Amino acid sequence: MNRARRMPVKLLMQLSWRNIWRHRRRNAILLSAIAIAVTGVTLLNMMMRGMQQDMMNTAIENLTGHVKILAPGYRDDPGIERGFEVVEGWQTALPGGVQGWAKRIRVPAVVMSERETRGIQLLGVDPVRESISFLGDATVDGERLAGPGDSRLLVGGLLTEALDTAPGRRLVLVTQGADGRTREAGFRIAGVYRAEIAGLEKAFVFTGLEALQQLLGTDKITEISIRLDHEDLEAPTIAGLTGSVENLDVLSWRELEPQAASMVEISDMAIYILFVIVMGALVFGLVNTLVTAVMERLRELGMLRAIGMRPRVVVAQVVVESSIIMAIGVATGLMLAAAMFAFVADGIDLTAFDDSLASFGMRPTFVPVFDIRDVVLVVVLSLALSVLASFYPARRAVKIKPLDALRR
Amino acid sequence: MADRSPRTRTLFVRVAWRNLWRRRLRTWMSASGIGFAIFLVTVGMSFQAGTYDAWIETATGLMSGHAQVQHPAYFDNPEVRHSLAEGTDLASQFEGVPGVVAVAPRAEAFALVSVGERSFGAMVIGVDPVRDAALSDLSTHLAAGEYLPSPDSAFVGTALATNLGIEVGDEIVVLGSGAEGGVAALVSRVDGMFETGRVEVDRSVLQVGLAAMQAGFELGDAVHRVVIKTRDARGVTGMRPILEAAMPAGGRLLDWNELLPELEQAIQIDRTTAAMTYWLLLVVVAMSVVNAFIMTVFERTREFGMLLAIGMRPGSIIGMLSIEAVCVWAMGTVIGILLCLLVVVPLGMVGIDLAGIEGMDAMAGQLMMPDRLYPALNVEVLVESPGWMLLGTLIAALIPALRVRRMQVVEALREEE
Amino acid sequence: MVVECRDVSRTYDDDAVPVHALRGVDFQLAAGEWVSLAGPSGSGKSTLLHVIGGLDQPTTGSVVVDGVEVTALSAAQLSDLRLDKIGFVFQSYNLIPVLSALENVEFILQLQGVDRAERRSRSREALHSLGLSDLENRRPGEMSGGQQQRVAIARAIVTEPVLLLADEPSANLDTSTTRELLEVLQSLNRERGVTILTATHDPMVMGYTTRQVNLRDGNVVGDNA
Repeated sequence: MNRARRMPVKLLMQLSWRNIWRHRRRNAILLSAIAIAVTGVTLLNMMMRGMQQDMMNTAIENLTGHVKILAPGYRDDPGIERGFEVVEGWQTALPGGVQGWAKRIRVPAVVMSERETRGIQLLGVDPVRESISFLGDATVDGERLAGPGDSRLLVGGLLTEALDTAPGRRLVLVTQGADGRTREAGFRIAGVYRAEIAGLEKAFVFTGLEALQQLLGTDKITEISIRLDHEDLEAPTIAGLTGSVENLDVLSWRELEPQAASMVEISDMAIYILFVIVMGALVFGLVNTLVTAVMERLRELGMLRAIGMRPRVVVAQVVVESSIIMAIGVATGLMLAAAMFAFVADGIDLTAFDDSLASFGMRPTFVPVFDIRDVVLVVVLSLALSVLASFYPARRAVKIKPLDALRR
Repeated sequence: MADRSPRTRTLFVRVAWRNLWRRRLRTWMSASGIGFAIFLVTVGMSFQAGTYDAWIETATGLMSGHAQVQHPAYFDNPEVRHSLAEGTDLASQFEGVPGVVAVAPRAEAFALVSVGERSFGAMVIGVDPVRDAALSDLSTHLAAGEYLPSPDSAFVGTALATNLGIEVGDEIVVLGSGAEGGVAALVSRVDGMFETGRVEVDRSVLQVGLAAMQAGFELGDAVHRVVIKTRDARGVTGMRPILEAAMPAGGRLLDWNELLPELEQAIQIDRTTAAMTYWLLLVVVAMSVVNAFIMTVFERTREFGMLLAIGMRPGSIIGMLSIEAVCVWAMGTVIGILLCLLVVVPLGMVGIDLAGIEGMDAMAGQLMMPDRLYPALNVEVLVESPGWMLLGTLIAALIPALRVRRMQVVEALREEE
Repeated sequence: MVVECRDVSRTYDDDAVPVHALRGVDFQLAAGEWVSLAGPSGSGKSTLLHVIGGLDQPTTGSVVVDGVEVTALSAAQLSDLRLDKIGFVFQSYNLIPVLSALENVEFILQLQGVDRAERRSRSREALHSLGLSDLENRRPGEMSGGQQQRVAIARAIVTEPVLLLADEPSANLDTSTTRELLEVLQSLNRERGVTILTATHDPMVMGYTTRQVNLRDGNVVGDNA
């Protein structure tokens, strides 16, 4: 007689639950260990995701955008000679999900006040379009640029201090014209901007796009920066543009900011390693508890085998017990992490590490990021671990012969 | 009554040790857990130590050195007139100081570099080529030509050279404002180019001979920085008093912590993140050891009851359990440290090829990393995590062991096996 | 007198209904006697044995062992009393499983702080006197129940206690092994003058003792020499 029998799931759950409850103390410790591991891993992970997001945003807002159109060779030798003109209606090639785009001229220049001289990047911009870059959020003392024809300057705070100047005063700019000759001209300062990343204030000086074109004697621009709603839209955008803007480079921020891109990749790797390591540390405690639980119940399991329980049901019992412990621990851990996340979700002030954060392309206020995919990973990984950890204990349990156990 | 002062109770140790082997799997699991944690933490710490050494070495080696003497106002406000007089003499004053490996005077100014119609802004640094080569790596990043072979040579970053459209042998004109307020002008021949991989350096730095610089910028014998390299970058703070003693009145001594604040902070951030991971690991493992001991104490209730009945003090039983804990810890530590040595010692000799790891090469230049990373072992690395783990294991054993104090002998004896 | 109990009561309040294990027991034990406490389970014989052995404290009354008032002692002093003056043999689980016979006997001397050479020779002698010289290096798991009980007796007498307490020593033994064990105890009692108190309901044990005290419901109901 060989009737197909269903696994008595409900009975198994009941048995396991009561057995766990019988050894409250040690299972409570094991549960806390799992919960602490999960909470810790999740919090560290949210922090790392936060840093990652921050590095990415900064790289993108740092006048890069998700995608940029440049003339070939501009990256090695930036200058107005590497400028280009785009055909009317180029933007029809853009797929949906574009937050905004901006045409710019960006050339190296030397700026001089009465006292000091500095090297900077001079940008001709259409102020309205710059909502896609850090300039949109920056606070300004004095006035902002009125439009693309405004020939006044917007200067960073740190540079203003170094040059010992102020809004309303004049600065002399020296740069290369389209004809290759040096242009030298005086500009009035409209306002002084403050950026979240202080280093940017030293690097960039802004003026109106058309005003700069006039100075350089050209109708060209040197770049178009495109900001997308989401990073995932990058590939279709590049694909769409590459065909339509001929003889120009269409580049992702990853190519333009390789340092930030590789740091993002490395922190991805670090997150997975952290997961595996900390969750792996739980295996030792889990195996210990499960083996003991099996050994303590030799008599009970032997009796169950004697009255006709099948070996695979014995195995299932161990696996179910292991999974229940793990599931409760993970759930507790995730709830704790969520509670703590709510507590710090507004951001943590890291002003003490300002210089270094900026050098890594991060802001002084740091906001942890919650990614549901990581939570799924924790859950899947932990359940896999609980099954893995029950392998050896289950084998021990199956080896129990009905008589051996009863004779003890 | 015989003397009962605590002394080597050899049988206690034997009981403890043999008890560990009654539950082989449990003991191995606890020991492996401890070993796992110690292995990861020690390996992690050696890599950190190696990384930080490399960061400091590369960052200070490129330009800044381990310490500098400057005009008091120069660091916050780098103007040409904020200089130190008699710079050459000043440099030689530090050369005799014990612990100092190399000293180099530098004069510098921001200026316009022109070739024909093209002009770019750059930081022009006047150096003594022999002294600077002993201290800075810049000369080793030679991309073309030679490193300042003659007094009127210039050493230019490749990106700047591309922007200016020049090649080795071309002449450049440097224009700026001199220390006295006059126009500073300098004509040099580009005899060499460097490429460090750090864009801002390659695009905006130009080195010329110190004497030419001083003459062109009306500096006399004044310099802006006296750069000092010591035997050990980490020991420089301790050397401050000796260095300050050699410094003229009116100078300001800055060590690399102050010159490169982002470096020290980067190390702090990295350390903090790593430390949180380590603590998490150690706590999780310690908790599984607590669990193991709870089970051990629970299973041996009757045995402890019997021992209490024949007159053993609870303290002695707890002591015996502590010996068990120490044994488990020792096994784990041996496992962890051996594995660590197995990984770190060979890697410490050959190094890890960072350039070969995808994505790393792009970072290497910017993040001040060398091509090869050598993990560094030291006593601190090998002692710290085992030390904490010992404490953790002892606490783990004591949490359940303290129950022995509250144990009722009669009830314990009645406990089912 | 080795043991003098006066009006000893022991009440357990742990459960909802208080259990009166002993209700005003008077009991004396003189040097050189072998007394067995008899009675059905629940009669209080084990409790009386535990109280005399300093394992349990009476609720009221006084227990004097070898001139010491047991009820006045601290936990640590009780430990020392058990270690120095009393030898214990339990019905099972007497020995430390991870130690050999010799080491088990030595263990208690080590608790007393006896030095190594003396420990060794005294333990060997104790095992020898019980005919266990050949089993010195065996661990409890490698010995029969009777052999284990004899090792337990060797451990109990090696400290030369004033009183040997045995709680159901024959409970897990067959008849012939029990007989052997009782002969050992008898010779210890007769030849070395060891005072013994056993608690048992095994009639065979009662045949060997010099005196038998019967308990029922926590009271002494008979005392016959």
